[in-house]
Amino acid sequence: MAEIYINGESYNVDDGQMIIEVTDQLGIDVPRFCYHRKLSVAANCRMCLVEVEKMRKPVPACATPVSDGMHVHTHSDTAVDGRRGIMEFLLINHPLDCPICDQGGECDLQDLAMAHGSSHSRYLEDKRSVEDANIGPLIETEMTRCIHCTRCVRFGEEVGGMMELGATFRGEEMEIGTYVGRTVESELSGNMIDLCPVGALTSKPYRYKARVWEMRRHDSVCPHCSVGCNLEIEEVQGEVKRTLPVTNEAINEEWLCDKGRYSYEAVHHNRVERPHIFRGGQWQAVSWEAAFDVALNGLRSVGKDLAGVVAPTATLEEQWLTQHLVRGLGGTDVDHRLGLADSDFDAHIEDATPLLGQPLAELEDLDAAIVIGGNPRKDQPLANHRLRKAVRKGAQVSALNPAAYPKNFRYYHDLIHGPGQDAPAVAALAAEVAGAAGSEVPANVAGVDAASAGLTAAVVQAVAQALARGERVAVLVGTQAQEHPQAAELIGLAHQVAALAGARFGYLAAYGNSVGGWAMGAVPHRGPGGDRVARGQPASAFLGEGGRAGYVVVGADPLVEGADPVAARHAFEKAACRVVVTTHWSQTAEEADVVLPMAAYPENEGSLLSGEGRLQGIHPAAEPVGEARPAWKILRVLGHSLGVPGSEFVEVAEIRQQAETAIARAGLTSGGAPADPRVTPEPASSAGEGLVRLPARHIYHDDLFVRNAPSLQEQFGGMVATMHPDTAADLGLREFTEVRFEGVHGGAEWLPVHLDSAVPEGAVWIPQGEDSADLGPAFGRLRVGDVAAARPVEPAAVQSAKG
Amino acid sequence: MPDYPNDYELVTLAGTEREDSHTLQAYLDRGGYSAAKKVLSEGLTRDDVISEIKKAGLRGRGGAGFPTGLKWSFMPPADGNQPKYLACNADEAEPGTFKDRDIMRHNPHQLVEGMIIGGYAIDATVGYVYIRGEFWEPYARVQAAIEAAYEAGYLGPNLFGSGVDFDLHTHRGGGAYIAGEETAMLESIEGKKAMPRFKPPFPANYGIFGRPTTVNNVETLASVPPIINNGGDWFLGVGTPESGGTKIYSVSGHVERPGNYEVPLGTPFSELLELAGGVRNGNGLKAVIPGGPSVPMVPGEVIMDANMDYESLAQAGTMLGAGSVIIMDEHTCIVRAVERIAKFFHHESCGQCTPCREGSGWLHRVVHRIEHGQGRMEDLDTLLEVGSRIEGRTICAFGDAEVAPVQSSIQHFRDEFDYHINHKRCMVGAGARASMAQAG
Repeated sequence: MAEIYINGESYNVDDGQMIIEVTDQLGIDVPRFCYHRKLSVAANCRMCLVEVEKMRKPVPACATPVSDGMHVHTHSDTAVDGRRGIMEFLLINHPLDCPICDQGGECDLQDLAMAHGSSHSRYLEDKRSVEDANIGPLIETEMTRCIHCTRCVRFGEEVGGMMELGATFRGEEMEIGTYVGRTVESELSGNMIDLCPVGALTSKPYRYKARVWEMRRHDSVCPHCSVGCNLEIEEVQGEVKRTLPVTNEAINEEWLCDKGRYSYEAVHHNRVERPHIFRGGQWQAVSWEAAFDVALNGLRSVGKDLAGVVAPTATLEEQWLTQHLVRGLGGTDVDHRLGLADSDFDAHIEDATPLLGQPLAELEDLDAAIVIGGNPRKDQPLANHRLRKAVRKGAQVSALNPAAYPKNFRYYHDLIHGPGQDAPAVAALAAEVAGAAGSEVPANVAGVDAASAGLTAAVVQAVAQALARGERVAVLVGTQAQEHPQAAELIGLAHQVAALAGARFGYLAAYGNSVGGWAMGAVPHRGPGGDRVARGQPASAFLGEGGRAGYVVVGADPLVEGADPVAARHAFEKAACRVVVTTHWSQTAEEADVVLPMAAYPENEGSLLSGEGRLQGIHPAAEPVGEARPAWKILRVLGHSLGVPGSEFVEVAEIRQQAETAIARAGLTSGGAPADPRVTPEPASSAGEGLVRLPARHIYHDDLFVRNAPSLQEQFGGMVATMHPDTAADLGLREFTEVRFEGVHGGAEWLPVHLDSAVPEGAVWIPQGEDSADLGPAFGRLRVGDVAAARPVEPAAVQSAKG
Repeated sequence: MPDYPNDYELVTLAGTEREDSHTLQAYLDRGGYSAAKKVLSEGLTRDDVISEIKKAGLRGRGGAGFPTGLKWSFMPPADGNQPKYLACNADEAEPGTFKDRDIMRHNPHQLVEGMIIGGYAIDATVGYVYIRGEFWEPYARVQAAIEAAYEAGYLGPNLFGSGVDFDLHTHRGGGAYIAGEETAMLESIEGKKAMPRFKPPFPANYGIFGRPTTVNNVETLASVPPIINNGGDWFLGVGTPESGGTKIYSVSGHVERPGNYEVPLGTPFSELLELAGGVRNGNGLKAVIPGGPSVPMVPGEVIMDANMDYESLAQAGTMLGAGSVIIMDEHTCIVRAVERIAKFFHHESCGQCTPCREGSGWLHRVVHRIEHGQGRMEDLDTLLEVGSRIEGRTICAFGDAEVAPVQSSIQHFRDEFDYHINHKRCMVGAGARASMAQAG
């Protein structure tokens, strides 16, 4: 402890803090531009100059540690004059174009100029102007406004993990920008807009859309990935203008990934605004009554030969209601796991509620961890950020994947197994962990050879030792392993690894309500809260061989997002009644008999259960577009009209009650551990002809909502097939060519080829999405069509499409 | 070989009368590497070396004049924790300074030996000589000297059988003035853009790659072997009681014989001017910048009474700096001279911190306007006020440096600025303009 005096008042404060940290805690105003509590200290703006007695010169509060007996003056003449001087310097070359600047109204420079600046300028010379750079579809630049605080540069280096922005040139000519005009590609790039204290970096999609003082703010939660970032949706007269993060140290700190930040654009893009029915070979916009008539008649006609799909991004209420409707009508097939390719998963693992198994914030305190079958940087960006922080503190975080996905921190080891060797690779790790921990090697993994799984034994050993050695260790099952055709085996083996290493076992759940889908009984073998129900078949079956006569689809697009979109299409086409409740026109909606427009998440009310098991509410920021209605209301009408008991509620809160009791029955708690998968798998490799497809999704081409956000689609840049240069050479393919890939069902897609040795030989990484749906099974094998017919493509087509 | 006066005992330029003074043989012929051998094989402790340097009163020759022995004693004690670094600042970018260049060209082994001893004293096993990018010949000479020293076993592991290791590398800069600032130099050695670091932490705690580092100037390190050989008392006796030894003054400008003059600290300015052949054409002396443009200029009559040492120049209202003595005769337009200096600082500001980045251009543009007949009467107050808002508020001393010439020239030669503003031309007259133009 140190006793210091600030403006004559005595305070006892902890040693080792900078003056600005102390004044911030005490609520004493010290202005700043470059200092930010989450970034390293640069001390370059000099705005936080304070006077410290016995120091000859005013000192920056951000870089001066407190010491016992120190007398600090934050508002003395020296301090005030220091700030006035800095303010004058910052403004001489600033364009003062506040009236046309999007930052106006929330600009640190504007605010502090009001407080510390002069009303007129003594600067009579020419002002600096800087040419703008186009750094991509998400961030607008106006670099003449830049005050060179380097917050964005430090963010990239310290948080984003990519040094994309830097300072070129020197002195007055110094410019912040990307290296030779590149696009900023970090999935956290939008945070630089928030950090920028002036209008140099602003949001491109939001440009000139609104003034900050006219917007109303509504707290909500991001539904995309399982992190559950807190955000606020801002609107003017019901029109959503932008999304900003809300600080929650336990979840997203003060960050938001670009997916969560920019997906709001989808609210006004490609929406279904009126109920539609498909009649006489064409779509007709009809009244709700007419649409309901068609839907109800259809559902009545199919009876209990009915299946329900609800999106893993839908609210708990929507998930509960979907399963309630399907089961209330006598059906058994309901699922939210569209991507799950393991058809007999439920027979092996009764409860795979994908909980993280620990509070999210504790990930950064790990000593060692391994991600099995996942690309957290793109799938759960802010969970990945916690792992990155752990690595910066010295943790040994590894990954075991079928490809070296682009990462923003250095894995201790990035284990890449051979194509189709997923299960043997995890088994080999389990065997090594047993050895490293001095345990008996379990029979099911004994004798599994790391080398034949395409791994280097010594490296697997090193990872095993790190896992066995650490105090706080986690084994995390990633998104791709959870959806893999051998998901049950991978999860079982991963659990074995965790048990042998004495580590926490957990899942990195894919979507904002994947955990909720399990808790709400939106799985065919468990009811809400794990209740016993008549066992049905999973989505991979009822959207495949085991097709049903009727389908109710809520918020999802299984003809793109399904484990086998081609099989799903066949099943869907054969059905007699297809009711699609959707926010956007989608490939599924276009095959429906009736399309009912539902509210998108910024227009909706409901709750989500995040990956760590945290229950959070989303709140409507706007009225649904057109005639769209919240899905809970639509499902209520359907249930009520069809005589499903328990559909008589009037408030969403009543269903929330159902959801909460289900969560309690399931014993889900925030930070709680997932159930033991209780499976002892035999690790088998999958063999076959052709290239093994890796389907890891692109961050901006993921769920239906994101796929309709224009700026994110521009950043996505289009579907690309990434393969090893040697594989391409064997096939006779070159970079910047487009070739026909053929799936098992005969479907095919022309895709540009991108060469990258991050993908092992014999595999091809083609993300799941709209332009790869015709290839059939996400985890299937592919043939490359006639190479002679390959045609050149513009290099730009493959530029930004990496993962 | 440059023509150095013989009446003074040379320390850092000793032996340079020989044509091949840069070779190992020439250096050995005059007792080279005996000091390092004495330190390492005769059991001198690190403290012994440091106290000898303290006794000698050696002060940093790079400009700040910080006592070298004291600086060395700031390094953490020898604890087996390596690496620690000794970095030699050979960036020599202060306009008008060309002394380190001659040491490196003509006496590189003395620098290498000084670094071996310095490295031992601070328990550093790795040294860097950070050489200004434009210096090709000095770089080649130092690099050759290092290679010869390695070959002769004066560098590398287990020097003189003492168990002490010392490796030495050259590192060429990119030619930015600011890279001569010690923490900017550390950044540059790390491969980053040369931008000064905020201090604290100081290099002794957090230097190259975050490891303890001491930064010394070429001339400082080259002074070390003679101190070890002849004793600290001898060195102190050469200079003044407060600052020991000799100092090389790089005399430039309007003198008959510009060049390097190594003379004892405390030598009267008038004597130095005489050595340099006096003011050209017998003209009157108008002003002198005694330590490079980053120190205040003083009128000729003031400096004629001063001695060339830290204390006496401080009394005269300026600083010794790096010893780059720029002489301006009576035909010099001070406004034009200051305009050129302000342009230099405008160009060389690293741009990191606000007052310097924005202020350096402001100062330059205003002085430029005055020089070009566009001055306003309020400009001089603006210059002084802008200067006061830069001074002392920047990360490094560059801010003070860019202000010093502007403030000091307005202080001493305000009439010239007034004349420029009122008459939109120079007080010194067309003749001076023409001769300046000839001089470039």
